[in-house]
Amino acid sequence: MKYLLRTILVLAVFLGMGFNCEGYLDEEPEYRSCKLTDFELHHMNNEGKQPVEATSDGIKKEAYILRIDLITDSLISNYNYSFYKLEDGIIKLDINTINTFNQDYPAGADIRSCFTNYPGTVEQYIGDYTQKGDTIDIMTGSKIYLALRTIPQAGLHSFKVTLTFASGKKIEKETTPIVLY
Amino acid sequence: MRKIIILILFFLPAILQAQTKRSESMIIDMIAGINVNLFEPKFGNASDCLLSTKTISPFIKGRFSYFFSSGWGAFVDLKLASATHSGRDYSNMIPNLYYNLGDDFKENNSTILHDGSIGGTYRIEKKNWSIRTRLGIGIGEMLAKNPNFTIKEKGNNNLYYIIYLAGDTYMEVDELPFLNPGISLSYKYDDILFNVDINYTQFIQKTSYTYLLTDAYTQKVIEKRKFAPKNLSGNLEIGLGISFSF
Repeated sequence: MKYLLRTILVLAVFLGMGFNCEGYLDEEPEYRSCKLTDFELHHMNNEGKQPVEATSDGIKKEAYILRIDLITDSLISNYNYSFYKLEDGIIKLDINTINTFNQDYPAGADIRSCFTNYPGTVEQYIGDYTQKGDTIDIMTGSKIYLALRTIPQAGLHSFKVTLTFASGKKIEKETTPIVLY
Repeated sequence: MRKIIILILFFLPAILQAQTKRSESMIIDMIAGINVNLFEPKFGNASDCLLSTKTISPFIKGRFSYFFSSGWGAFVDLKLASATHSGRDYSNMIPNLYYNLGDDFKENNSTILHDGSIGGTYRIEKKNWSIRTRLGIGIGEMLAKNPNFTIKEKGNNNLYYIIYLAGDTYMEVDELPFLNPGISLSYKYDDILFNVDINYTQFIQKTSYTYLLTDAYTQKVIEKRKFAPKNLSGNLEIGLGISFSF
């Protein structure tokens, strides 16, 4: 009798585990819909341990990070229990240089390939994977940190950022000029 | 652990077979005591704490001895010992030109380590007192760390991952061969022996480590090298126990 009870107990535990796993794996995250209303561009100085907002003194050109803040109609934080999803996702993020970047990139050139998603831990981080054909829509964060990996010539620089949405809509902004030395 | 069990299973039948042919005595020892880690690992460039564990930890041990004659015999034993990583300074793992952005070091990770050995023993008896000396060979486990770091170069955007891997891939416990001489001082009362048991475990192989430096942007491996501590590890066991002789 006790063996029968033990067998039933073991079976019940395994079945319970199976149901739990199935339920967990099949569970779809509940997204809240939001709209991108604006974005902001920030020059970040990454000479230290963490990137900080640049001062008027400029930034060492090897330590420049462009931060793009996505502003939505919802308050998004890393601690939200459910993710927000853009109604109109971003399918392309272009960066063009206003001034001559270096001898390979004259004024007006597309320099998106000179930037890479910053792999360090930063608050509110969201990666830009549009270059791989992905869409930025699930708002796991709201700040895109793009580290400059191709060294520009020293001097005054500013960049134009263009966001293209799935609907075809485009919005663009220019950074304030910054000295990269 | 698998190697230890195989080792014991390999030699146990020979001992038990000998027992059926002869009528000499068998002794089963049960010992508990402290394990003193005599190993001060020196890695050179990397941190010595990759292999260092707390100096004193408890252990229990079981030993089966079979005596072919009044003096000579063979034994097999199995030890379970607690081991906890010591939280030593690991700042020398990161060069001065870099910031440590985060690490996973599992400082207080602890586990039960197994080791088993087999060998020969010699007994000297005088009235109720006896001394048993032993020399064994076995396989024992060592606790290893596999820490990883994200480091950032000062003054620029360069970011790297450093991973220290025990072995070639990932290993929390390494199994290494050892020699263990030991001695037991026993007082016999009826069929029970009361023992003071001292053993020394000298590992005869080192745990090798792999250092892996990867570019955090491209995931490309920049540097991969192997290294090992300069000295072999060893433990001193001091225990008290009781034994049953048949």
